[in-house]
Order: sequence, then structure tokens, then C-alpha cells
Amino acid sequence: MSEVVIRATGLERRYGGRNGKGGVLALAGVDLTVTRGQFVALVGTSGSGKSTLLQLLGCLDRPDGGQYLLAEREVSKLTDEQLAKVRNQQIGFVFQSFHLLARLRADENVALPLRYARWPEKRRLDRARELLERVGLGDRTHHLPSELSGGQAQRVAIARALAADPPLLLADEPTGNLDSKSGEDVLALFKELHAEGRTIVMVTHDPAVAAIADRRVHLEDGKIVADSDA
Amino acid sequence: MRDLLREGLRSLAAHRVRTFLSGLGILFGVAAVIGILSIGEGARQEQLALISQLGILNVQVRGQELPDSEEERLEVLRRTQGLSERDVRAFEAVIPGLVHAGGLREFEPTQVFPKPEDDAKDLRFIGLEPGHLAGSPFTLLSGRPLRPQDEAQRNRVCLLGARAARVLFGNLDVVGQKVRVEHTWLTVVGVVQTGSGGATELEGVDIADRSGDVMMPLSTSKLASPVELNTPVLTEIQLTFDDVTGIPPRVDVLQRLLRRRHRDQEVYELIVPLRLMEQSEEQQRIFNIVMGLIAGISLLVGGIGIMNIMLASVLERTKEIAIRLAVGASPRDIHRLFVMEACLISLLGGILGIAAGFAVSWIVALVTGWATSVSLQAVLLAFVVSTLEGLVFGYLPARRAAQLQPAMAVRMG
Repeated sequence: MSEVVIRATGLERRYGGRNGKGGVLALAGVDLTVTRGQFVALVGTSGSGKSTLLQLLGCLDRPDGGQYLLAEREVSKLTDEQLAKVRNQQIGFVFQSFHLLARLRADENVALPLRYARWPEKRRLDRARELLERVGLGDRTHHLPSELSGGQAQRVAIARALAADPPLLLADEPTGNLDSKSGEDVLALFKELHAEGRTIVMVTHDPAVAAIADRRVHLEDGKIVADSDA
Repeated sequence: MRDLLREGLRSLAAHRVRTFLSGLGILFGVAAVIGILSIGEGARQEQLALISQLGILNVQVRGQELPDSEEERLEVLRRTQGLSERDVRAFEAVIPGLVHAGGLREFEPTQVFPKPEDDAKDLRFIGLEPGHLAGSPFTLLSGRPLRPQDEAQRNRVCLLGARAARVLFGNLDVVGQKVRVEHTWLTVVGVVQTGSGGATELEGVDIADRSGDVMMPLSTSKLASPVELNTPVLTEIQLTFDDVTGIPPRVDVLQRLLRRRHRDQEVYELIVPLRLMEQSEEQQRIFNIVMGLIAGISLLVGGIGIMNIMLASVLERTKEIAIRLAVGASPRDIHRLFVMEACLISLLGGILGIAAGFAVSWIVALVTGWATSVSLQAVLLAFVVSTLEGLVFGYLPARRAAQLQPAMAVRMG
């Protein structure tokens, strides 16, 4: 049995409502275990709860019920400051619309997580340059996001997710805003990262994208209805 | 800290107009504070200069103009002949703590030589007793002052104020020269500098600009220009005391003495520099409180302006904040970022405000002719206040920013 990265049991998340009653139950008790090196695709229609689950897994949000252990550590009871540190060091995010800071250059965007990890400036820009070369953008380090194509921007975002070398990569429809060619490049990059042994959880509604993952978890109405691994 | 500073600067640089506008309130507030304080400070310095010219240990008794109508004039003169040397001698005999006492007589000669240019009206011809001169704050530029024996022997000598020397001779090197007053030739024995500032009024009291004085012994002046009938001999008597704290009770004695000697006729007024200074300090204090309040309110308004715009900016930058949180910024990091920006804005406003304050002070001086003076304390005060304002008024927007949830990053697609 390999090392467990994610161990979620009975995760619940309710939007609106009060004291755990009423409102919309976006996640209704999800159990999910992801081991190191897995590439998991979360699939489902919109409103199935897959994005909500990703937010909980990424410590962007707190569950209303259930337990979440990240690298065998209970995170749902951490303070906001501690959660920030977890996001900073354990998790790399890739978003559908890249979410780069418009006023920062590519290398500065990549170095942003390291700035909050209190790395000195020179070291973090060196690291950013390395990573940009790694994703094939060694010649774009000083460009602003507005000067990059969608595919390039997403690769910058991936480099940023890798900056602190986190054990877990989370991606929310990373090809959703890209044309098919750039989408393929980005997927190829994820495949490489997977091959390097990184743990990836990716939300997608595109079966072709899900196909590159080695495990598909299907959500519907806030519950896991199918898991290719189970 | 350096990262924070640069991030703040960059974010402000991206919205130059907005940054400037949000700092504008502080700018005006600080400019108002500095401008107002400079007016107060200028007035204070001017008053201090005037008071030191009068001499803080001095008390002056000045003769009042007699009534114009012949009838009333005679009515007054029937009771008193006005100020004279007899008053001086009485004061010397009765009032304790006197260091010097002396009378001064101002007169207007019809003929003077060398003939002064058109600014002859600036000249003041006075005869004075040694006790008056001794109590007046003069600096001797050249020559010697008037001596008691000049008075006793009616020596035909005179002492010139610096401006009087220039008006009469065109330069200051005049010791040994002769001035003719009516038919009497006087030898210039010295030139003095008075501490006169520009202003000649304090708390409603005229303070003669004495740099245009042509001073001679009182006895000599009577020789050159005899005292006319029905005219008081002296224009002014100056008393110099040994100690500031002793002045108020002695002024009471002086007042009683004057009333008795002049049979309750108000032919004189009493000028007590100490009292003037107290009055002027009191006014200064009131001015400072009122103006400080106004300036404080304008700074408050400026701070609220910053808070307002910062709050709007937090809303607008929700996405940026969420992204920062998602990559690992802690709420505290976000809080610091916004406080830093608020501080930078108010500091910028403060610095520009200090510059504008200097300009205000300069323009006020130019337009009104008032003396203004920007004090270092005012500048420091403005600087500190504007920085504090950033901290205070940046707090609320920063807290709101720090309370945002990182999940918004994902939800915003």
C-alpha cells in the first residue's frame, strides 16, 4: 500500500441555510482516498459538486461535516493562518481561467507562492525561471500575462503551482478556456508531471480529458456514484 | 517588508489618478495644518520681536493726544499739565524695584539740516533722559550712547537710529558729523540699531519704529526747540524694573500714583509689554486650538476619503486577493498589503501636503503681507499624522480584504 495523500471521509458542504440545515447540500458525504502518484479525474455534470470537492481538497474552503486528512494531517480544524501555510506548501492550484496577477510578469507570478513562503527575491526568481523553462516558456519570463496566449498563460499557471514543489496538484478544468491545440499541450504537461510521480486531482467534464487520468471519480448530486478504482 | 513596499507601490502606480485623488484629502489637510500653523508661528515670532523691542522688563506711560476743541483742552489742562519730568522724579521716589526711569519728548522741528529726502516723515526727533535710553533695547553700531553728563550739561550731541543716519547722510559712518535742528548744531556721537521687525502694532498698541530716531538729551532738545505753552513736556516715560514677577503689583502702584498726580484725567496710557505678551500668548493659544481643530477635521475627512477608496478597491480586487490567498498568502499578509497601500497613499498625500503647505504659507505672506514661518515641528507633526492616518483608516479596508475567502478564486471561474 503506497502513501496516502488524501483521505476524506463523509465530507459535506452546504451553501446557504443555517446551522447545517436548509440551503443547498453541494456535497452529501463524500469518501475519497488518493494515494501518492495517482492521477484522478473528478467528472460529473455542472452542479454535481466536483468543484466544491476540489475546493475542500485544496483547503480553499472548509467542510461543514466529515473529516479531511491531507498527508495524514487533519486540516479541517486548522486556523486560517495555518490553512494558508498548507495551501502554500502542500498544494498547487491550476484554475480554468489561469488566475495570474495581471500586473506581475510571468516569473513574478510563478514566484508568488515563494514570496509568501518568505523566500528571498533572487532565489525565488531563479526558481521561477527554472520552472518556466521546464514548461517551455524560458523565453517568456518577463512578459505580462496580457502578452501571453491562453496556452502560455496556463503553462505559467502550472509553473506557479509547481513553485513550492507541493505533493498535491489540483486542477479545475485546466483546458476549459483553451483551444484544442493548447489544451493538448497542457494535458501533455500534466501527463509528464504524472509520469514524474506527482499526485494530481483534476476536475473536468470532458471525457477526452478524463481519459488521460488513471482513475476517474464520477460525482452526481454531491455524491460519488462511480469510481474506476473502486 | 521590501516585497510589501514594492507590491504597494506597484499597485498604487497602476492607479495613479485614483491614488492621487485618494491622497488629495490628506494633501489638503496637511497643507492646511502647515499653512495655518505657519501663520500662527509667524505672528508669534513677530510679536515676540515687538515685545523684545519694547523690553519685557519695561513699562511705558504714554501721553495721549489732548482733545481737539480748545474748550475741552483747557479744561483738561486746568487740572494737569500732562506728563513731565516731575512725574519721573515721583516714580523714582515712590515705586520700588526701579532700575531705570526716564522721560522722552517727541517734537517736530521745522528746520533740519542735512535736509532729509522725501522720507523725512520717517524721522522722529526726540529728547530723552538717560534713564529712558538705558532701559531701551538698542545695540550700539558705532560711537557712544548719550551719557548723564550730556543731559546735565545740555551737550549738543545726538544719537542716530540706523535708518535716520541713512536718511540724513546716506551711510552709517556718521560719527562726528553735524546735524542742525532748528538753529542748534548737534554732533553725532553714535549710531544704534533697534530690534525692530516690520510690524509696528501689537494687541492694538502702536510700537514706534525707532530706527528713524534722532535722539538727543532732553535738556538739549528744550534748547533747540522750546516746549510750547499748554503742551505736555514729555510724550512718554519709560520705567525699567528689576524683575518680571514684580511688575504687576508695581503697575498698580504706578496707576494709583498717575491718577493722583493728574487728577483722574486720562492724559496717558499705560503700556505693559508683559501684559501684552500674556494677552498675545492667550490669543495665540485660542488661535491654535481653533485652527488645530479645523485642520484636524480636514485631516479626518482626508482619512475617511482614503478609507472610502480603499474599501472600493478591496471590492474591485477581490479576485487578486483570492488568488493571493489560494497560492498561500495568509489573511495577515493580505491585511498588511492593504495597510501598506493606505499608508503609502497618506504618506504621499502628506509629503505633497507639506510642499503645498510651504506654498500656502508663502502665498499668504505674499498676499496679506503677514509674516509666516513654517516650523519644523509643524512639518514633523504633519508627517507623523499622515502616516498614522494610513494605519488607522487603512485598518478597516484591510480587515475586510483579509476576511475574504480563497474559495472565491475558483468560483469566479
